[in-house]
Amino acid sequence: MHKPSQQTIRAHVVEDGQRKTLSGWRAAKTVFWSFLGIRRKSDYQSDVTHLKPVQVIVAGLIGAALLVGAILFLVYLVTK
Amino acid sequence: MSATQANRVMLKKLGIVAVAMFGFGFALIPFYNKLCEVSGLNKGGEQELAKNTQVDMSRKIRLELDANLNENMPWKFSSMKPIVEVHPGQLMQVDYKAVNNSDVPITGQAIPSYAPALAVQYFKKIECFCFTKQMLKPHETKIMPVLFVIDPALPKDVKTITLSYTFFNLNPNAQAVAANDKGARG
Amino acid sequence: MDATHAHDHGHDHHPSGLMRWIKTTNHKDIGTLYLWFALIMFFVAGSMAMMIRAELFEPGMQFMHPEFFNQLTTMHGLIMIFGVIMPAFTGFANWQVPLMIGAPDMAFPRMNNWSFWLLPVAAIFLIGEFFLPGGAVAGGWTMYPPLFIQGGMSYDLNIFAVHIMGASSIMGSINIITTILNMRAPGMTMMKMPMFVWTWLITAYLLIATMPVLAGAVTMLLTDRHFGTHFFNAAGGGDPVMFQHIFWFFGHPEVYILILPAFGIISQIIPTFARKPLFGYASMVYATGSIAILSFIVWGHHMFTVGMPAAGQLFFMYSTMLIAVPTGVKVFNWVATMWKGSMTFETPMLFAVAFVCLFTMGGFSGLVLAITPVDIQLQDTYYVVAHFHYVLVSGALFSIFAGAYYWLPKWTGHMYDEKLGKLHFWLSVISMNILFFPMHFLGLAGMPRRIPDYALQFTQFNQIASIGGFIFGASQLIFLIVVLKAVRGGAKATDKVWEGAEGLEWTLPSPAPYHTFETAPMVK
Repeated sequence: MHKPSQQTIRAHVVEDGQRKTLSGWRAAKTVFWSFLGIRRKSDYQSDVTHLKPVQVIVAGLIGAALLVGAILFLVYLVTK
Repeated sequence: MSATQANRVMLKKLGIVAVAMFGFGFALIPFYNKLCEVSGLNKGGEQELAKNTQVDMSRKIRLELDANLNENMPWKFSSMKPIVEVHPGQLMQVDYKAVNNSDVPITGQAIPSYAPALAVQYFKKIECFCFTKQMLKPHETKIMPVLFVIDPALPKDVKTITLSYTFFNLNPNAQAVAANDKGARG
Repeated sequence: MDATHAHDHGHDHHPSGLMRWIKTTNHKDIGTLYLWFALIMFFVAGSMAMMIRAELFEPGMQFMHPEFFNQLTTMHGLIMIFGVIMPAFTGFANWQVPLMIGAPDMAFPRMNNWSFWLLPVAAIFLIGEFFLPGGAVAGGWTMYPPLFIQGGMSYDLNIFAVHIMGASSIMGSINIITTILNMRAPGMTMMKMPMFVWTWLITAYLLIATMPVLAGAVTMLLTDRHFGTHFFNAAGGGDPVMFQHIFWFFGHPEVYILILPAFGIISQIIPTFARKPLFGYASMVYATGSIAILSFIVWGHHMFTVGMPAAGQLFFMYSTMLIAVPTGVKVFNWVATMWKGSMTFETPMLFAVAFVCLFTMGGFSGLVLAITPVDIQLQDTYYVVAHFHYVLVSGALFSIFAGAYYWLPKWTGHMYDEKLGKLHFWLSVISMNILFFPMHFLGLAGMPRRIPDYALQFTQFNQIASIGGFIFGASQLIFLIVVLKAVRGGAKATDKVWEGAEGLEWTLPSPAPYHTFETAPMVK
């Protein structure tokens, strides 16, 4: 999945050990932008090379749960 | 893994998802019921808007129901429950029972009185047998309701109200009938 | 019956005969079958709409009993959704997905054949209901109890038809997902997939997640009717509102099932005729995914009037309005794709541009309906009818027309008649607005839907709508003529067909040969 030769080397290329936590953060960022429906092309490319579909799906479900929570909190503020 | 095998694996996975979602549809019923129970949503039938918010639950009024007959009235007249307790603002129904003991039809009219007298203005009757004349055939028995609300504005020091009804005989020859009855008995 | 139609234009270089169509496992044949089936059902359900508009031309009862009117509105809805829009999109997917990703066929060709041939069976069940004692189902396409528990035997037949169509959709979706995920040509990464493939991938997931729930809901109706259960029967302690919750868990994602493939088709056509790549491809993919997820948390906006607590109404109002964000992103992306493009307006592009404008209007009336206090006023009025016809006719249906005109030369090898195509477009787009725009006002004035009679003051707007409806109905015959003409002959189409066309399907000859990409192409 991960082909370093095709990738632009970036300053924050992650060490293998750190990959797990950072890709979680990356998935969260991906999902945040997807809820808005926009994403910078370069970021999108790096999402596709760095993330497994499972990560995105899990992040998507967590993101959806957070969104529901946020709306419920807003409703609570409005109705209390 | 060959392409066909990969496809088979995918078919199995997606098939399981489809079957699981079929089950999920059924699981929604207990899930929604539990959700409503826990969150207190949709308390089945107890409509927020229709609830009577005028009831003063903080106090109870002891209501004594008294029944009397005018001396020339040959009925038996009593309240079904002599004492009831009621919250101010609470809609309440009490019943009275009248029996015509004579051999002739008799029309009567009930006249209420209250103790303490100031309770009159707080005692709101919605339906009462005293609103109209009552006619009882010979030896007929009738259960007659009073539907009322005690105004929550009732002064706090009033803790007991006595409601007393007296039935009067409206027959033109009431005196005579009563006299005859007395004579027969005497 | 569809097989005979399809047979008329059988490929000359292959053995023909009815059995070829019945036994075919070729994705192009099956795609053709799906599309013919959808077209035939479109005229069936469309003629029901004509009867509805004829009855509503004047107040009072003219042509039919109220009961029959209710059967017409119910069946019109059911057939248009399950028999026209969904099979048409599945037909597009069968034809185009393998061509666009460089696959030789669908992943499970035999299952593909089965999922198509279930549909005519379901269609016979649905139409056959009219000939049963008591007539067809008349409780509305949403199948709400108690009417659907109390009805006669056509209600059972309807439940079976829904089961069959659901099974067909689920199998079709499994096929499409597997094809897209496992059978892409080397080099065709996910991020290089055409938008139409992306939208269908997400649609197929939505179908797998929701169709079984609908199947479960109608199964519960069936057991309530015959096997003594009380899921929705209030007399036995059940809750009819529970059905609405389960139905709309399916029903709202279904709305996006009906529109996401349309987004995909439009996202193919606009770049072709604007001669520019799609603006914000990545954001389009993300917006599609986002719409799919959001579609599961907004179902309550269909039920604002059932006695929901204020907190619930607010939740569904807010979440519904949030969907406008990714949808708006898509509309802006289409507009940005057209911006400064060298645009030409062939029929597919005309339909695509009309789609962008009119679908946006349908979206806005949807936003109006998302506001709870407004919805409580407009629930079950013609305003709702106007709203969903703007998104389904000028949305889903126009995208199907656009896609049909766009790919017809690739399918048949002949250019369609451009003059007739433009005539079809202009008549459709004008009459469609005459038909549905006055319904907004009728709804605001309080005319209820699904009622065969109306108060006198609604007469004029109903007559305008009916006239628009008759013109719209008649215009669709032009489409039939265009398709038949293109099937029979016409100017030879080039391989690329459209000057600005991009993608694997345009590297193939026109008409696309019976077998394509048997050796996978390399995608750079």
